[in-house]
Amino acid sequence: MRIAFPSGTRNLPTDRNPLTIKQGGSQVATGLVTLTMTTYTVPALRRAELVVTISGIVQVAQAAGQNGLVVVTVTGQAASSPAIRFLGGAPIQTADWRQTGTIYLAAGDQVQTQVLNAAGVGSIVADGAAFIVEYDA
Amino acid sequence: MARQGDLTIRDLLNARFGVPFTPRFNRETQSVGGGFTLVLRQDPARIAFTIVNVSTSDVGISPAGQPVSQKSFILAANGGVLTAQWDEDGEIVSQEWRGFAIVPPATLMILETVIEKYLAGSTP
Repeated sequence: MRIAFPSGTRNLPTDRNPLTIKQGGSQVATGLVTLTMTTYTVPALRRAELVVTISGIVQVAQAAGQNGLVVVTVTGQAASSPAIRFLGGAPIQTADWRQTGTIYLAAGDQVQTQVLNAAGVGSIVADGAAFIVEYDA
Repeated sequence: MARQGDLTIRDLLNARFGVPFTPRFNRETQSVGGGFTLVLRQDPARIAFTIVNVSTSDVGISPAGQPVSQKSFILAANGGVLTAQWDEDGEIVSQEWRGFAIVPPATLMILETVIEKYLAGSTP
């Protein structure tokens, strides 16, 4: 009895030639809105390691009480996700950015970068990017 | 040893082994589902087999008498291969084998080598 494993992509503990994925997107959030820059979901039988960056800049000054948010959402991360906040009254060109450490995800987990703004005249330009290494579980 | 009158590979097999044997491809099935599926029927004339998992899912292959899927040979996705032959493995080669896919369905390439009866007219 002999059993042979393919010499291709599958090797332990990770692939010798894992899939690399780069995602990026930009949105302008004016008034009450939630917009998504990037979405990545780990496929079945796969795992992923990734780093996510988000950045934002106020394009039109936030109105009083108009709170905006650029955020990284991860499946199962219910609170305190990595985020940038542009609070009410933030003047034009207020800017900030965040980069996560390495995030380890299992099949079915999802990472999104999003920008949320409250009602008002203010406007936020947001960018999100994900740099992903994906391999067999 | 080839002899005068030998014309075909079958003649050479006759001469060397006393019996000819021939290949059979995907005789039972060419894919397995999530539950145990018959991949090799019991056949005492089978002297060897090769099963190649050409799917993107891991596949478990198990001889008869191993009713739970946890007891199986795992053929890795994208080209895992299981082979057996009678002079190494004995009668288990001829027994029934079944398989299942981790993520069904999974396509298999199944090659069996089966003894053929001597055909009259062949070189003895």
